Amino acid sequence: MTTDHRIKTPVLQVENLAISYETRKGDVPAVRGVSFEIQRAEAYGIVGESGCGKSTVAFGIVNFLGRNGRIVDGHILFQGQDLAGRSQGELRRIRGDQIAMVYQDPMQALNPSMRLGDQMAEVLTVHRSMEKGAAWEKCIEMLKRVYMPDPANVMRRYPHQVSGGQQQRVVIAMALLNGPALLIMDEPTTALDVTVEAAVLDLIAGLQRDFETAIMYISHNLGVIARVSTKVGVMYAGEIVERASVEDVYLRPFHPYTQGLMRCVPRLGMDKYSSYLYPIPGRVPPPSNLPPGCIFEPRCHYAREECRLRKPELRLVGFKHWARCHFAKEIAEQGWTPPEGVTAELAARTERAKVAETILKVDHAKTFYEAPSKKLIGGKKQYVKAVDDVSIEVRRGETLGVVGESGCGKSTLVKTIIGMEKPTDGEFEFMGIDIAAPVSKRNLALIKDLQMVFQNPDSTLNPSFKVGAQIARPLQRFKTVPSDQVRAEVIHLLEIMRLGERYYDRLPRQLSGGEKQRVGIARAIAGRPELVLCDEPVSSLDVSVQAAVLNLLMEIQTELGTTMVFIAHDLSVVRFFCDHIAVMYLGQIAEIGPAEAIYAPPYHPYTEALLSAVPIPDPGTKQKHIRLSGNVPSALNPPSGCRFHTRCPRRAEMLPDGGKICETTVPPWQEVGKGHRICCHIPLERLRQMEAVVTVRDQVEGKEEINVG
Amino acid sequence: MKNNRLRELLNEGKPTVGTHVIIPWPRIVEVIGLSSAFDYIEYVGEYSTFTMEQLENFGRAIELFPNMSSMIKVEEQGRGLIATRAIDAGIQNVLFTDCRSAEDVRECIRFVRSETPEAGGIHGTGMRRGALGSSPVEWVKAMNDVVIAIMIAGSPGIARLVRSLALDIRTRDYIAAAQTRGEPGLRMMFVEILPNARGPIIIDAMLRVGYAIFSVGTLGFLGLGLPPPNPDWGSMVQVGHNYIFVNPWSVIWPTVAISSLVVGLNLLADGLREESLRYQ
Repeated sequence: MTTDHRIKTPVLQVENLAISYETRKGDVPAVRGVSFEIQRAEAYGIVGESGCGKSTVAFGIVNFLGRNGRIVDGHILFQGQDLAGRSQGELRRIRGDQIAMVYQDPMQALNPSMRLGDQMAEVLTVHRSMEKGAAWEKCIEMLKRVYMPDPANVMRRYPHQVSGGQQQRVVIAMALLNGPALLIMDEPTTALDVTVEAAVLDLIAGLQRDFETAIMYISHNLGVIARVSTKVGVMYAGEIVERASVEDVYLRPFHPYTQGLMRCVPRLGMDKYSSYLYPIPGRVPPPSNLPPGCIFEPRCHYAREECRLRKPELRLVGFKHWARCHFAKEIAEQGWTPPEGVTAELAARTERAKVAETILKVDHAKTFYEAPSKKLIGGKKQYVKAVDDVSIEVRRGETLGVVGESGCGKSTLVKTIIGMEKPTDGEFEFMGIDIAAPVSKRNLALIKDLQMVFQNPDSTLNPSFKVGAQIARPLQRFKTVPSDQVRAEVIHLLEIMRLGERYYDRLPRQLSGGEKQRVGIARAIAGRPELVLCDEPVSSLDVSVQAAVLNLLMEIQTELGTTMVFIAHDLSVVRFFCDHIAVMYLGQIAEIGPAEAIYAPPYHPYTEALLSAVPIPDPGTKQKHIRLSGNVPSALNPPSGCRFHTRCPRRAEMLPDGGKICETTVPPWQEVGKGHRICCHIPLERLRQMEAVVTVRDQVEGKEEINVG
Repeated sequence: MKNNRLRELLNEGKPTVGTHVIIPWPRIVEVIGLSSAFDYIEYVGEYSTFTMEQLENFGRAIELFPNMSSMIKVEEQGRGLIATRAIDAGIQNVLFTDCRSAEDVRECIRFVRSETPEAGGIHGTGMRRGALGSSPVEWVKAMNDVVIAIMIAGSPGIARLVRSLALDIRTRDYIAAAQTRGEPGLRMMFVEILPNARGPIIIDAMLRVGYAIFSVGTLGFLGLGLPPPNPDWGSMVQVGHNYIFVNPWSVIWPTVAISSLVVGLNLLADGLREESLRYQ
């Protein structure tokens, strides 16, 4: 990044760090042999799946390991001075306020009962004994530097009065107040929407430039890491298995684990008919029970005798490129052959009946929630218009994806279809039957045909009952099989889910997140439903597990011909998985059509902005830079005319007199063809002239390169 | 005779709104009546000081408002006396607190019902105002219209606990999954929700046993426990504390026994909960 050739001390140098937690069952080595260094003005990304020790490393650096955690080996050199093994007081003296940390949830980092300004000023008045007025001025200054609109006003507000993205900005501004040399960010954008995330990532890149702060950025999201960092360390089960520059890790990975990770994330533009996700088999070993040789050996495609016996060291495999594998170079030269049967699988997916009858038809659906009036007595009733005039159609055997920011009404739409929310208006037709009634009033045959897969794996299963009983319940209730065959059928379902009979008697707490989600899917498909509604089924899973679950859903769809409605906020996953996509904004559909059409011009301006915000796990991809200003308006009082006009970046340049029409008139539906419709005032010809948001390098060549390494 | 608004609304199956008053001044009743926002006023007469004359004035103030009726809350001791006087003063409904058994409740009802021959009694009504102003027939009707509210002691604590747990658990996805299977309400309550609320319920039950042991000990200390030769820790402390400076052991052992039993029960509850809900 810099052209400075002087020899510099790195801001942070971690050498051979090992951290253990004491538990009742003995010491658990959570982190072993971790080494890396971060230079000034450099962003170092640490990526890995959940439970691999990323956060433990961060907590080790700030000595925040809790009562039972301790550093057992290694050194942490901060600006040349060792932090490991020092007392709290000494640490404070050495590091001063030079290390700041930003956590995942901004709401938990801010005190809800204090004004934002007071909280920020406190950092300066207490730690720097600055005067109150001066501190206040400095805080406003800092808020300006993190591009906070109207900082003086924000200072007087409480945390709940600003949006999630702005809260995170305040937290970052607070972290920067003392001018830290090192900023540790632990999944700072995971809780944010994709558009807000993009803005925060831009901010982080800007800070790195302006303040020359060294940043340690922790994330499970390969795309986010690719966007912010210059160097990357890939962690697996408490060890760094590969570290190099971001291009090397993403385009020429040496370690089989890194290669596996790259193969199991769908890239923007991939679809299920032409490509396949290769999940990594098995699961991450618990740190209390590690394999004796290479930690990745039990899941490795290339494992040999030596891997079982001898632990590999982190070795130099290229220019500043380190990998922890005995055979890194061999593997890279050898290339990777996909497992057999994949082509057949792909062919089967493509073969399914192309034209089919409409199974679900929703016309002008409206679901309003009554909002409590602010007056004590009387007052006009107000409604939160969660879903406002939405029409969709789903054909048998197809998948409809619904995308949009949180609060756009996608979950409410699905809940209304399944009958958990009462529709205010509109027609709902499923296989020719009217389904506007709530689920308690529907007959059993209809209930059987509409099932749902839920988002949170930890709450999708009843913790009091065994897996077998939970899958058996819909079988008994819908009388899918005679009662003496229920057990056999449950085992059959478990086998479809790749779980097997041994899971029959397990309780949900004995299962990992991905396994729970699979049981949830088994329960949903047990009654052989016609339509399965999936509410973000993979968004809380790790990428390798996500790939396995997506594959499973696709297999089910191919075999049983199930129709699906798939909600997600990850646009790459939706593109990969769905045939048709509806983009929702504030309770309405902005654009709907076949998946490939949504991801290519003409775009609705909102779709364009969403696509340009998606973090892509490929540093070579070029992406347009469009950022939405402002927040999503309240659904209690949505903007007049086009709902998107308050944030639309395109109307001023593409419409005469700055798009006044958008503020007053509801935009018309414009037919693009093949069922692709855009709800916008901007004429189609103008929309067609837009460039594609994402330019992937020549696709075939790119893939070759990734696979060969 | 004044109509009983509360009874009318209940008979129509409509909801009712009432308010509490702590002071039985007629002026307060008038202010509340003129707001016409309430269907009844409940005078919280439980353990409070009032004279029969105040009750009379309260009852007369209520008669000004045809769309409002009145209620009095009475404590357990002397409830028969207070309830009959209050009805005679024109307070139309009664709330009995601390009912502990079905027999208790039956007794409360007997206090406020007329004993006409039709109802199987022999005394009739025989109340003052009935004799002076209106006919006995109207009085019997008024008495039969008395709305008797019963407060059942003890249950709200655990009920509130279980309710709050159920409100939390019902937002989980597995409840939504059960809904989308169209499960009936009873199954939802007892099979899907209740087993997951068991942890706090176990703790609460054990804490209650602990409190009970403490109260038995206290009663024993106050001389209400089992008499000798039956062993009772409370009585042992009571007798022993006279000689505490001469021989402290006769006090120490029973107190250690009481406290260790209570602490032990709490620890047992904690262990049970942890064992049954591990990692959930």
